[in-house]
Amino acid sequence: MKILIQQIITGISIGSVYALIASGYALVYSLLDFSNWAHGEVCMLGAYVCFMATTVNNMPYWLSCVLGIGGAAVISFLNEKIAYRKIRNNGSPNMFLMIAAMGLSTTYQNLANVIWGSKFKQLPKIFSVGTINFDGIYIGTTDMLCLGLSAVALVILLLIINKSKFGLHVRAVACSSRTAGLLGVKIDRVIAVVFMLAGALAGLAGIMYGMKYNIYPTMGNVGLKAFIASVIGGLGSVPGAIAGAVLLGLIETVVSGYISSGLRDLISFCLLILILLVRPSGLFGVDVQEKA
Amino acid sequence: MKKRVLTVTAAAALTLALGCGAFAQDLDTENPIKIGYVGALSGDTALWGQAGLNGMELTAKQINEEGGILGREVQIIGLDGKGAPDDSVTAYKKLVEEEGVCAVVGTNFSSCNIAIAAVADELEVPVIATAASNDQVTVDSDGNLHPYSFRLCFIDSYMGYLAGTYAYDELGLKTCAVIEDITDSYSTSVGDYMVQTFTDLGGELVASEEAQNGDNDFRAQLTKIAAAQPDVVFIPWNYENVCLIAQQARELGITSVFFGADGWDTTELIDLSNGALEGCYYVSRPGFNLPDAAAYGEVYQKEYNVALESECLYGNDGVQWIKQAIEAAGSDDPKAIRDQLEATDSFDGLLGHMSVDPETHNPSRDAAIFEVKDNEVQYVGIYDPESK
Amino acid sequence: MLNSFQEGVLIICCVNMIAVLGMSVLTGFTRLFSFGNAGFMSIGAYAAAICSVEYHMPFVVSILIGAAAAGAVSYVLGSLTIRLRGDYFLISCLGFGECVRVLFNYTKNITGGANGYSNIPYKTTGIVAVICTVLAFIIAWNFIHSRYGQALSAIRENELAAAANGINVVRYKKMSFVFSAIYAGWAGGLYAHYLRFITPTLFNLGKSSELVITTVLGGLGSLTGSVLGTIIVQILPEIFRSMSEYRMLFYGIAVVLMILLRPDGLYGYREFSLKRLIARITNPGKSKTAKEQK
Repeated sequence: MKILIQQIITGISIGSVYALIASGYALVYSLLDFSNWAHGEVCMLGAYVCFMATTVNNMPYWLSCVLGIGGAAVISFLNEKIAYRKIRNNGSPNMFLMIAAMGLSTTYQNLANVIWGSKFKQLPKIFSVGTINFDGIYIGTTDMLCLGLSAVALVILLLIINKSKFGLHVRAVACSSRTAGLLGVKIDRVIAVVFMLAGALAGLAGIMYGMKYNIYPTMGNVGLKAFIASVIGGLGSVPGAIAGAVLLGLIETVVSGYISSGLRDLISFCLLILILLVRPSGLFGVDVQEKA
Repeated sequence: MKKRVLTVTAAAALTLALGCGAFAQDLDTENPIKIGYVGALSGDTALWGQAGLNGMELTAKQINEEGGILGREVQIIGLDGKGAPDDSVTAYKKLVEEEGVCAVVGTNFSSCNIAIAAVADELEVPVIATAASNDQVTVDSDGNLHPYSFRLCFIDSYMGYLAGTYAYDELGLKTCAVIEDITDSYSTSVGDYMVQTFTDLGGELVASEEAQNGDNDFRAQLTKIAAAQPDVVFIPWNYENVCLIAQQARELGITSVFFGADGWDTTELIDLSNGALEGCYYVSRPGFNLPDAAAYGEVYQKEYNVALESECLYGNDGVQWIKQAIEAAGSDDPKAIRDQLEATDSFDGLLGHMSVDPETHNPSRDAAIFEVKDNEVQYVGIYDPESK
Repeated sequence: MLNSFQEGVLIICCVNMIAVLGMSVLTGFTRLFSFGNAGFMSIGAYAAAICSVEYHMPFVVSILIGAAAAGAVSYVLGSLTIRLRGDYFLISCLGFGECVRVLFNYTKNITGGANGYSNIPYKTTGIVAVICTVLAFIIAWNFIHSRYGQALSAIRENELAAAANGINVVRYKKMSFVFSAIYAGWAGGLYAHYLRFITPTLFNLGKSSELVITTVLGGLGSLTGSVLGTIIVQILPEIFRSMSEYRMLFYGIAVVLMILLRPDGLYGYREFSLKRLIARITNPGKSKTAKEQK
């Protein structure tokens, strides 16, 4: 029983990082109908910005984190401004956006390799105590911090989308960008701000990742897992992405804990295909027939 | 920097003093001896590839300052193999066919070297693997020797044997667990040999877990290991992952001894592990602990402004070994070099003394045990279970 | 004649070209992206290698079995997933590719796991590779200009209209999926007999992405574009091999620039037509003006 609880805690902690990245995928997908595969690299760059600020420039930790999140938001914005917007204006099909994103992802990974080298870096730990022992069940302090921060960030995101005027614009563009444009919504501006939001979340995820694990040029590959999570949840749905992420985290730990750690990815991918077959648009997906 | 300027000035003055320059005349730069290097110079393992190349270039520079090999200048040509078998084969072919190298050093991946081995036998230019430790690098799966493949490192089975024996015999541990990287041949084969040796001696395997390259969270597997309460956990991974695994294991309350192999051998082990490896052991060849290597490390640090990696020492030893073979053969003919490499009965490099078994082309060299103690890597001593 | 290095580059280029041609038939005509074709390559490679090594079958038979194995697996997978749309299909293929990789790592007794599968005989010489590529091109060319190809074009242009005209959309899509998998398996078998050693990591997600990027760069739905795209993607990095760490950086930047500046790929899929293709081959200048007029 203790082992099961321990595994569930681990699963939620893994899932919470996935959730931050997955919600970024979902946000962008809901507006532009494409999977922004450079998202994981935005997360990596945010972590490096934070690392540079805190260890090289000796800035206070909180400021470094803010800089990391801001940096990721700016990079995400630049991706949109320089690359994606032009492709959209060219009138190219959506899949070109995806290919451009893959190109950006390769570029950023290798850029990071050239600038910082492939050595693993660590962000300093905030707490001196690594874990708290609850009667044989260990809960990491960094995990709790990350979980709390993820929850706060995601609640704020959901509030922005569902309650604010800007959120209304986002939902309008997601529904039909043409109609929204005719009704006076500045589409490019909405998209740009959404990219910044998604980037900020990715930056936060990157920093958490750096606190829990390491920072290295290919750490953005975690974005793949997050992408899968957002597909499970239903592309374009932010709550779906969050649910999908936690679910994927739980599936991974339970499979490696109780079935086979070697076959973990195999089983989680099979499960993914199964979910898609039963619910072809993901758990919370809407209107895929029209969006595809 | 000042020191270098001084040396250069001194060298220039000396050259002037000797009229037309003793160095320049002695060193034949028209007809250099070319040594190739294949390694991952791009991608996420570029760190070691670059380190190996830097090590070779530094050594070549030192050799050239001392008059080169057979009076000829040594040139190092490094090509990117991306750590992938296909790219490494292409890089090897390019070195041989287009650059005309007489021998190739690299790679540090077994999969790349297994692919290169068959090609090397055809193109007949020897290749010296650095850290490619799979048994099949020099002898294929049917037991036939690859005549043109050599290596500097231990083979997986020997490292596994040493680790298993040391843990059982010397440390007196009785139960073991292992966590392997299922996508990495080094990890799976060293891990399997560790466990096999340990259980053959009478130990018990209580948990066997797998993970994948690219994973960062091992807690699901470690929770199971924690429940099995082993005396020792074998972690045959590269050091970054070792540090993550060890920290997460300690966080889950695992107090066992961790045991590893030469993937742990780096100057960064302590910084990255945050104390989680205290009281743990690994088996490797002597290296950083040797005075020659330390002196080389200082020069290296000055030259490249990065810390010394074990791959640099491999690079150095590769070049020095080829130099010894060329000097013994009296020519840089690849076949003559191969014969001399095979006949090597004594070579002293920065990684210690070695000789070559002509049957398998595997080096026979001293193995050393290291312990992490008081927050530093301490050299325990040479270990040879046969001599007891 | 070519030295072994040049021959090696030629063979790798040819092998990739076969896989890209298959991908081109799938993606160019159905707009379905498969990030699992490296998985089919590995199935072809392992099946062919095992036939050659364990059962001492002739080279041609091994390659055929490899291609058939990939085709069979893709038929099963396609039956399940071909109805999924866009990104969902993409992710199911991607998942499949990763599954195959994990499975080959896991089945140590048959495939050697991470240790790889070695001692495969060297059969894919430069000439074999070139013959196979020409053959692959001719087959693909005839396929897309056959009744099936026309149906596929109709589906690409307007799926609803095609279905309304009695074209079995699912069946045709599945057919092009299997076609691309057979090509991937074929390429994989050749690859195994060139490199003589295969490991599951050779066929990772990076390989699948490379195939997709090449297809898009070449221009969707254009076989000649695929050929040109492969040559560029394979040969350019070879020239910059000594630039090591900057090599992949430039590659990434080039992909982005290409998409930005030549959004239709080297040959755009919208302009695709038999007439223009012939015109393009026989008289490149003329086809350009035709394009500009449009």
